[in-house]
Amino acid sequence: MEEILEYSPLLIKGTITTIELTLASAVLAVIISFVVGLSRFSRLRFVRAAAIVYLEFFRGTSAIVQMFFMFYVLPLFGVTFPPLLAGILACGLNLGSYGSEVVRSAVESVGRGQHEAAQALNYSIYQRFRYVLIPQAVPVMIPTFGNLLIELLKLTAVASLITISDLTFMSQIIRVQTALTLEPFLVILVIYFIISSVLVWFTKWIERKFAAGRHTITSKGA
Amino acid sequence: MLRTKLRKYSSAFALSVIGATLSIGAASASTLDDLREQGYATVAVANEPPYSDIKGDGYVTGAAPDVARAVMKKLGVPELRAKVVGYGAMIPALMARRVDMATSGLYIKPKRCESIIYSEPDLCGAEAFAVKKGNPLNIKTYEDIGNNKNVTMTTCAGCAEEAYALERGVSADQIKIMTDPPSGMKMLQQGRVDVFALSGLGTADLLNKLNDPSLEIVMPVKGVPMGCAGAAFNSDDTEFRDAYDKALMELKTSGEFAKIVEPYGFSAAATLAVKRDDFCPGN
Repeated sequence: MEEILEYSPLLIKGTITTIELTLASAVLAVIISFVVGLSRFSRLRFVRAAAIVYLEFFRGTSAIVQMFFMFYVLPLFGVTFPPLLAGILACGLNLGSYGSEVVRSAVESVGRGQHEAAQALNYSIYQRFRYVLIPQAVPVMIPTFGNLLIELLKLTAVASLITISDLTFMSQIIRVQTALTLEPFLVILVIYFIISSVLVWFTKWIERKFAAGRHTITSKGA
Repeated sequence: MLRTKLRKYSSAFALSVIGATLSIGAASASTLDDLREQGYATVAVANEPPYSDIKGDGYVTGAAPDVARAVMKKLGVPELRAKVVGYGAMIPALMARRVDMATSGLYIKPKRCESIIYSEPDLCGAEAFAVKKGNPLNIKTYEDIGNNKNVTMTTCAGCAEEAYALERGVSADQIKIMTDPPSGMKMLQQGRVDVFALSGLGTADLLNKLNDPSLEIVMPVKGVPMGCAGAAFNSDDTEFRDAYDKALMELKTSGEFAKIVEPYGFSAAATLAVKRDDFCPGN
């Protein structure tokens, strides 16, 4: 264990990288989820088709391959992302495909009566989504998004393959340098668990926040 | 219907699905001049002591990075920034210009010379096996493994040892690829494989750290050439490579080279005895 402590600067650096990667890709994934999820409702056929192509491509191919492609293949066509950006894009695009289905299904789960009532009140499309449908759909999305967030944290470990020095990458370095296996893995297991516990707590907090908002909306009748 | 009402709202969004910043990689005429200007070179190193060694604070040393550092200093590039990359990803990293050069035991092999160019050899070493104490299966060469289909071995993905094995009659299903050397040793310790194959010094270093009395080393492995590595470059960087060769030669003749590599267990004499043309004529 003492040998591991000698490498604690590496572990701290790796933990920070993992958290950065997780948060940045989470933001990207949420944006993509909404954009692609809502695009599925478009009347324009090409918009719906583009959304489906994106969804099926990123959901249906391996995240490792996407990551390698982004990092090692795109430069051959003249597009060079810095490693961290390539990692964020790959994780964000991958998770965003799952997220878009969450958004789509949550909006669809809002009762038909709500859609019709908003239309009867002559709400514009923007108003209908902003004040009626999305506020009711968001509480439905949150538990699933929470799940995906933890999934994302674990997906970032794959980024160690494209020279991003995340937690998993650092543990591999320590393993090779010390020839220990149990200890480095045990340490990062605990660190991953602590990070995911914080994410769970955060999801719960958001859930409570939106549950309160939902109550206000129903009581005010907006 | 909801589907029809959302059109304006969603199409505006959909068109902005990907708005990422792209930096177009410019292939420069003289890589070395660029490196001198920016003051550092990005170097791919593998995670395999003693070819490369990573300290607790992240500083990269080891025989290959130390040689590269000395050469680059001579060429007017004071700093070396190391990126740890697996052997299998080194050539893609060079081709994609993710790194300016790669060093740390990427053996000079004709297959690899088709995609990248090498400096003159900088580190040479014999090959080794790690086996259970007493070598119960009596494995001394790759042919021994090939002749007994019940024997399984492990080595790293895309490593020279994999090619040695396949060329000498070992069938592909006898080879279990390890993700990294310590995992390979674990497989040997747990009886999942019978033979661990890697560079001699890498194997010795690992056995030394593990200090497991149930394992022993077979070195050198007969019937395979001594593995010689060099610094590797993108195939467009011949000018950079030639300058590197010249500076490396100066280090070799001044004796500084021996001072760098011998503390790590490498033989300077063995390296001085070979040329790149012995492995890849005309590379």
